[in-house]
Amino acid sequence: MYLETIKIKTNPEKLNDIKDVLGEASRQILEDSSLLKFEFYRNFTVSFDFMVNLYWIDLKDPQRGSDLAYQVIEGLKHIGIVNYAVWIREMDSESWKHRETDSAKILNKTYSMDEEVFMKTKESDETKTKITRRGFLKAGMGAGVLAATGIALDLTKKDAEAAQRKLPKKWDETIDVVIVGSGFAGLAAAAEAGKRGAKAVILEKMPTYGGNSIINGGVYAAWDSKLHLRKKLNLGDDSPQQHFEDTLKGGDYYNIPALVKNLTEGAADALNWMIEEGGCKLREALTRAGGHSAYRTHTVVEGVGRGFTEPLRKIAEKYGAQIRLNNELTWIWRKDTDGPILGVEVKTPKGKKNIKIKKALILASGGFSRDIKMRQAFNPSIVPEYNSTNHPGATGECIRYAQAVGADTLHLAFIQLYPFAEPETGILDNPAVYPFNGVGYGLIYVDKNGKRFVNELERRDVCSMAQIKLGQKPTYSIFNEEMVTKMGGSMDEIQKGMAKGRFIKGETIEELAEKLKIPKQNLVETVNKHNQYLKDGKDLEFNKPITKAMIPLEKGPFYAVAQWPAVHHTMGGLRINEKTQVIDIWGKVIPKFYAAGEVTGGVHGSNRLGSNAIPDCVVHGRIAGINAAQEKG
Amino acid sequence: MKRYMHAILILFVLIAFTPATTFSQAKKDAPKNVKKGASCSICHKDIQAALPKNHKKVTGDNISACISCHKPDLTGKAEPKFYASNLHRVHIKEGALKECMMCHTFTANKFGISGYKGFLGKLSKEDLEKIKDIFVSWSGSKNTDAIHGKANILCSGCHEKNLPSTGDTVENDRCLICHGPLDALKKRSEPKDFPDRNPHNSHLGDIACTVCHKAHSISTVYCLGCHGNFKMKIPGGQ
Repeated sequence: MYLETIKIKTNPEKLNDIKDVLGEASRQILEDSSLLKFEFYRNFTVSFDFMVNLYWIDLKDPQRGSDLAYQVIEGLKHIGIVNYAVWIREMDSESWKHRETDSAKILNKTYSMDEEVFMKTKESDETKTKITRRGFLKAGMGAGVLAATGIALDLTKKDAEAAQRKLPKKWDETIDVVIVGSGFAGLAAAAEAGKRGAKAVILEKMPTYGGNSIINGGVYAAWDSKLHLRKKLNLGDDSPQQHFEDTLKGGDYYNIPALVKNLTEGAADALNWMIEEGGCKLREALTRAGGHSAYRTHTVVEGVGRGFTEPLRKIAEKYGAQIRLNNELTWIWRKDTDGPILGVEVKTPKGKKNIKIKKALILASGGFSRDIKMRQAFNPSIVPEYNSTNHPGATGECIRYAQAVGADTLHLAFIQLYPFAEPETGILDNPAVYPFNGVGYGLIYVDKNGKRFVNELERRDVCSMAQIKLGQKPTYSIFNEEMVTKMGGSMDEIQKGMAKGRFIKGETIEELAEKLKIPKQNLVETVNKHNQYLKDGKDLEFNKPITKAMIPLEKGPFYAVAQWPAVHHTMGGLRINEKTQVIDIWGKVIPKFYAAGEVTGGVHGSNRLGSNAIPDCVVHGRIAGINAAQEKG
Repeated sequence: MKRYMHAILILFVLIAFTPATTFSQAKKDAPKNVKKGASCSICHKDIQAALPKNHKKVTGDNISACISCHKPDLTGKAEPKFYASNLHRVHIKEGALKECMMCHTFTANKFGISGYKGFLGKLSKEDLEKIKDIFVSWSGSKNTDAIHGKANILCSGCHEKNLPSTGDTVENDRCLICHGPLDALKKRSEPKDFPDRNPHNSHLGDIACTVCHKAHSISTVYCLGCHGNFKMKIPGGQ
C-alpha cells in the first residue's frame, strides 16, 4: 500500500479553480480499483492551501508515482499554480520518498487534520449503495457541503448516480419555463409565465393532472374577495394582518414572515383572479376553521379542489401552457455552484429526454406524504401504519433532486395529520370536510364514550394528537341539519354520504348514539352541556372561544361522521425567498430556480392552518411564474 | 338408418379433427428458419385442406394468392376484420409461425405484405420485435388486446392507419367510436349502489382511457390507488 501526498500552495483567486481540478480528480475513486481512498484537506490557518492524500493498494511504478497525481499536477499547471509538492511512501514504512517539488517552502507548513473537507473511501461507497433513504438524504446533505466549497456538485453520491453523471452533450428540446407538477402552484405559475409570453410546459409524472390539488378539500382562506361574503353574511371583521397573525401563531412562529405576508396579502387577489379569469364559483358560505380567528374560509361550489384546478388549468391553457402527463423529472442539470439551472432530465413514455431551460425551472411538485420512508426519516413518529389523504404520487424525489444541486431545505420534520380523514382508508372524501368546516357553527367532536376531548376550534395538530391519545379509534363529529348549508355543505352531499354509510342520521341524539354504539346517556349529557356553554358564552371544559354563529345541538335531525387522523401535508421543503427563488445552503439564490407550493418549506411553520394551502400554492405559484417569465433567456 | 347415423358420425369426426390434424401436421413440418416470402406449402402440404371447407380453389402458394381476393384493408377503420384476424390467430395459436416475414415484408423500416404494393406503415426494428409479443398477447392473453382480438379487432382498430411506436397511446376519441358516446358510456358504467363511484365520471374529470385500460398489459383501476376499499373490476384486469 502506498500513500501519495500532493501539497499545494495557492492564493484566494485560484480557490475555485483548484477545487474544480481536485473535484474532477476525485471521480477517479469510482473508476480505479487500486485507489482506496481520496483525502482532501485544507490548511487550518491558511485556508487556500491544500493537501491531497491518495491511498493506493498497489502502484505500477512507485518511483514515478500515479497517473492520477500527474493528472492533478497537469491540472494545477493549467490554472497557473506552480507551488506544489508530491511525496510518496509505502504505508508501513515511515520513510518518505521525495519525488518532485517545485517549492520547498510549502513543506514546512503544518496541516491540520481537523478541517477535513472531503474524504472518500471505497468502503463507504459500498455501504452507501445499500443504505436506506434516510442515509441517502444524509448523503445528499454531504453533497451539498461539497457543492458549497466549490469542488463539484455530486461527489459522495454514487447511489444517487451523481458522481457518474455528466452534463448531456446535446439537448433534445429547449423550453422557456419548465414547471414540475400540475397542481395549484404549477398551474398558477404556468398561467402567469404564459401570460408574459414565455413558453411554459408543465411536466406531470402521473397519468392524470392535478396531483393532490384536484382531490383537495376545496377550501380557501382569504380575508375578502370580490363577493364580500363575510360582510354579506354578517360574520364579523377580518384583515390580511389578522390572517397573517393567525398563520404565524398556528405555525408556532416557525414560519418565515415574508412568505406568510405573500400568502395573506395575495390571497384575496388570487381568488378574484380565479373567479374572473377562470370562472371559479364559490358557495354562499364562509366558515371559521380551526386555528383561524375569523370567518374567512371559502368553499368552492364543487366542494373539492377540482373547483380550483379547472379554472387554473383554463387560464394556463389560455396562455399557451402545455401539460405533459406521464413525464417524470429524473434529474436537474446544473454545472457549478454559482451557475444557473441548465435543464432537466425527464422520463417520458417515449424514453429519456433532456430539456434545456431558457428562462427558469419551477418546482411545484408537492409534498411527500406518501413517501413512507422519507416522512419517517424526518419524523420517526409518523409510522408507516398511518393512512394518508394524499394521492400516490406525493413522494419526495424532487426535493432530493433539488438538494443534489445545492438547494437548502427546512422544516422537513413538520408533518401534518388531517384529523378527520375517513378512518379505514385515510382518504379525505366529501364527508371528511364537514368536521373541519362545521366547528365555527357549533359542530362537536366526541369519542367512543360520547365525551368531548378537545377544543374543536383548535389547530389540526392539536386535534389529531388529542384523538391519538384517546387510544380508541375512531372519533365522531356531531352536527345538525341547520348547520349544513351554513358550513358550506349541502343536503345532497349528506344524502350521498348516508348512502355510503359515512354520515349516520338520528332524529334524536339518543337515536344517533344508538346507531353509533355510543352510551346514550353520555352523548345526551355531552350535547346538553355543550348547548349550555353556547348559551353562557363559555366552554368550561376546553375553553373553546364561543361565537354567535354557533348553533346549539337542540333541533334534529342530527348527523355524525367517523374520523381519524391521516398524514396530510408536509410543511417542510425547499427554502425559498419572497420571490420564490430557491436558496442554496449558503444562503445564495440558485439562478433560474424557483419553487412554489407544498414542495417548499417555511410558509406554514410547524403546523399549517386548514384552508391556507390553496392560497399558499396559488399566490406563490403566480409569483414564481411572473418572475420566471422575466428571467433572461 | 343405422348407416345414415354412421355417415353423420363420420362427418362430425371429420369436422372435429380435420383442421387439427392439418395444423399438427403443419407444426411438425414447420421449418426452423423460414425465409422471406416463403411458400405456405412448406408447412401445408395440401393448402386447400387448411382452408375453410367451402373455400374456392386457390392457385399459388403464398400470401399473394390470398390478397388477390382478400385485399388488405388500409382504411384504418375501427371495425372488425374477420379475415386478417383469423389468419393471424390460427397461425399464432398453433405456434407454427413465429416469423412475420413469411407473409410480411420489412424494408427500410417500412412494413408491408409480400406481393402487395402498398405499405402498412413505418416501424422500427425494435417495434417489429414488440409486435410479435403483442400478437401473442392479442391472440390469447387476459389483457384488453385479447378481448379485442376475440371481437376480431386488429391493430388498426385502435391504432388507425399508422403503426404506433413506443410510448404512443390511443386517444379517447378512438375508443369512443365503438364504446361511446361518452354520456352513454357514463350511464352504462354507473353503479347502482353508489352512482357517484362511476369510474367514467369521476372527480378527476376527463382523463385518458389508458390511465386504467392498458391494451397490452394488465389493466388496473386507478381509483383504487386511494379508494382501496372500493369493489371495482375492470376487463383485462387481474
